[in-house]
Amino acid sequence: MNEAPRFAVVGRVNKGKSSVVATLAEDDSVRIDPRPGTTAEVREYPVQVDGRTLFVLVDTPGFEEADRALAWLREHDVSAAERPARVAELVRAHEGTGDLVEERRLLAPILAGASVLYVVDGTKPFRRNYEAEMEILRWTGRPGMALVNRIGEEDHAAEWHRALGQYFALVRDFDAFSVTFEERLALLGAFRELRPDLRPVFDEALTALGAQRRRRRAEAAAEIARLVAGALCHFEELSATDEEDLARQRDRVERSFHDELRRMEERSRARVERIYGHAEARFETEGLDRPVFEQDLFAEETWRTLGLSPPQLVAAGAVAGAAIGGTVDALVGGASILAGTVLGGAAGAGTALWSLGSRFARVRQVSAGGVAGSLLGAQRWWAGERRFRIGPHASPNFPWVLLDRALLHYDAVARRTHARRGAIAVGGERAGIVSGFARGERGELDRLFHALRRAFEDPPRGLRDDLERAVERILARIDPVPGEPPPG
Amino acid sequence: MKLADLIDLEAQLARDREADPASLGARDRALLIGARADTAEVPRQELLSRWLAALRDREPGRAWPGQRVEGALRTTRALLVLAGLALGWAASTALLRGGGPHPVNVWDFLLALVGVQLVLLALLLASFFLPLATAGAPLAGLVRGGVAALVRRLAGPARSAEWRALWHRLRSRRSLYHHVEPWLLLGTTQAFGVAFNVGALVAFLRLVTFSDLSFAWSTTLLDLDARTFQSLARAIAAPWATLWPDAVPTLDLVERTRYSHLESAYLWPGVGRAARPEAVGGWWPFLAAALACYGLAPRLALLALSSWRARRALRRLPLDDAEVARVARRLAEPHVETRAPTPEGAVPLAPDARLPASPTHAPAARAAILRWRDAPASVASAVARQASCASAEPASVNGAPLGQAIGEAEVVIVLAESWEAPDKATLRFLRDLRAAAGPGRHVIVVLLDTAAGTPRAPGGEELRIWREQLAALEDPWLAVEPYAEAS
Repeated sequence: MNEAPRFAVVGRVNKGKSSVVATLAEDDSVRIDPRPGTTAEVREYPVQVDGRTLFVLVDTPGFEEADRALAWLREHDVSAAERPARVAELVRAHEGTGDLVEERRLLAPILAGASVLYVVDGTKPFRRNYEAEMEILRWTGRPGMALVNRIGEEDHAAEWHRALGQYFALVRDFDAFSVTFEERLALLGAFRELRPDLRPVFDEALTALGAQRRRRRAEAAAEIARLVAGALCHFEELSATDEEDLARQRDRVERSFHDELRRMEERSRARVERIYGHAEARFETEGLDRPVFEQDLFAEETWRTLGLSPPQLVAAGAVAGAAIGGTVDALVGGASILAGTVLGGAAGAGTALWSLGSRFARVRQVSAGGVAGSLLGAQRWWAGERRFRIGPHASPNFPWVLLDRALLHYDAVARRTHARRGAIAVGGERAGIVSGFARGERGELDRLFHALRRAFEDPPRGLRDDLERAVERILARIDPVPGEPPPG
Repeated sequence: MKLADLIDLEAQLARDREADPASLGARDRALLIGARADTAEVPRQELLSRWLAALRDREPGRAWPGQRVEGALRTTRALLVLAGLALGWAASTALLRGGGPHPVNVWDFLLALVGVQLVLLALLLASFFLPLATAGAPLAGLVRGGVAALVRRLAGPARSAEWRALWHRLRSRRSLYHHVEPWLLLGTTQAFGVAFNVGALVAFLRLVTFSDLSFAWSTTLLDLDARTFQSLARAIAAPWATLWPDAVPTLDLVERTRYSHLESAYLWPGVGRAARPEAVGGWWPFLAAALACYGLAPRLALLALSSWRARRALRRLPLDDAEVARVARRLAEPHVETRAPTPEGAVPLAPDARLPASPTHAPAARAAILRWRDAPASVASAVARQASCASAEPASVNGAPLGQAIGEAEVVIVLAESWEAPDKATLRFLRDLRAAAGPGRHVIVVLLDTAAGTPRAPGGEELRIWREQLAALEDPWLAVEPYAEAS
């Protein structure tokens, strides 16, 4: 652990050092605040692969009195070779005093051998007064890279590049708030240029991070598939003796059924967020940091903007119906002159058309199947009791809306950096994803949805697996990982 | 992979389903790295077996269902073997001793101990090789029901729900393991079959050795003569004819052992039970060989086959369903941890900022304007007007001493760029400024937002931060004001 190379993230207060660290370390417990001096102590973020520390990111307090520190250093005329020792002398000379506290703390890891990652705010203009801290860092003699953090609207990156290029061997742009995974890897790749002697270390880290990203995606796919399969197979039952009894229970069960579907979605989202390491800030600030869902799962707007369009749903219904009718045609050896296919297609399309507007499931009377079920039904009929069921949700668009929302949420989570704080916005402003699927993919998913609905009481594992694999292919398109072949 | 591993795998998958994937990754990689496993190249089955073994070592006190079920299966097999031995012994003894004063009818013995078994064997083979699902389903259902009941009983009331869930899960994932199940079932039934035949054979040999048995054959049919009967017996004895010629009945033996129940005597003259034991007892090698060949050998072969096939099926389990594939990936790929060992925690709440009210000063007072750091000088006049002061040339704080810079000005205006949060250097400068200016002199920090080039009023957040930070100076003549853009 002591021998692992260190990278000290330094810079002026409030320039985004902690944001950079939070994003690179995927740690949303890092304190980020617009007030200066939030980071008062040096904190280490070891990048470990299988328990071995490959390198360590070191978050440091910001420069607060660089002018004075530089003035102290320049009090004596020293040669370039003596400058690192002079910086060490500055730290030693002020030990035990309340003077230059932040400078001493941030310089300590650098003097101990850490490389320098100097962070500036590229949305603010370059000023000469920054040269003092850059000069101090140059005096340390350690390899350094400058990061132009662009977490705002204005863009002064060009002038920063011109200035930083005179002090640092490498200068990179980095938006800690909206950096993609690929850009994160690219930055770690730049570490290799900073420390060519550590190339194998960074190669290993990059490979491991890529693998971790793919695993996270697979876990998220499993979670989304579990949500869709679970919601699609969910049902509740009630027994009623007469119409009055049924009327009393109907509202309660319908509310309970839809609330449970909402809860399932909420649990699933929380798990996806945990998979991507966005859980801690959420739980620490419970009540303040909950996701803001602009639309309810069953809101009219949700169903209008997400899921498949009416023509797509009717087409999917027609294809499913035609497939069933075609089986009948095949069984009679074509003697029906494709009447089964035509009628099945028409019936499927008609059913889809009829169900288009039904966002909510309804309670219906049911009878159990099989001999035992028939006997039970007869016994209940004799006792004057009737059995009712709500679910599985019959709307053809329900799984599509649910999947669309899950994919949009995934997209937001996977792209959200750990420097961002607050709720993950799942917006209604964006069109859905599923309507853009190729026809073949829609057909495959529709077939799975139908099969799951049919086997809702005990869906076979194979169906769930097929759905999980289909979702994983979709996520691979939404969130590709550098270096992997494009999803087929 | 063994059966216990398979069951434990399912139990562990169910247990881990709700856990945090990151913590599972850390746990599992630590287990395998601790076992010095080169996980990248290890086949999936072996990887999973190692993982389960490491988990068992990690939690030795935990009740692993796989070992329990395997133990229960072994116990069931042992009980079936005991039952088979006892039944075989009893059946054989009953057949050999149950004839009363008459000798043992060779036909009856063959029919009961060989014929019935051959029919059962034929049915069993048919159920495997022909689609007799309808015939086999009720039996399989009964067996599964029995296993379910056994599992519940083994689990006890405390773990009943967990084990029921596991059983349901195993059933729902049956399609993944359907190659294994029939061979396990066949192996268990054939263990009984082997034991039955061993019991029957041992009882038969005991009676042959320690008692005097007499065998006979009879028929009501006139055309079934000794020669025909001997041909039939030779056909039956064909499998061992070359290996054991003495176990093939001769025509002489057949002719001598024809028996009449009406007369209660052998038809061949001079054949008496006591007088010619080698004649009347001469059937025993044939019967022993028939029992071994048609009873014991097929059961042994099926037992060996089922054991081999079950092992092979377990060994060749694809384990390629999505859930197992994810676990295998988790085990094989490196686990990455980038967070700090302990979370940093929330930002402490800021103390209440109690800023003094903006100090008032006489209009048209002379103001000294100082530029903090690189604040632009171009706005000096505008700022002076904003502060209702006479214009003055701005001075940089890096120039002359502060006392000289502010001179006799009644108001000191400090221009600062709002996007640079006030740091210790800023606070030190303002303290030095107060010391130079003395108490009572108004100091106004005017904040400018220069990020877009042209100075403009700062945002509310920046103004708030400056005010909060400067409140720490507790200077009643200090104010922080936003730059008022010229309208």
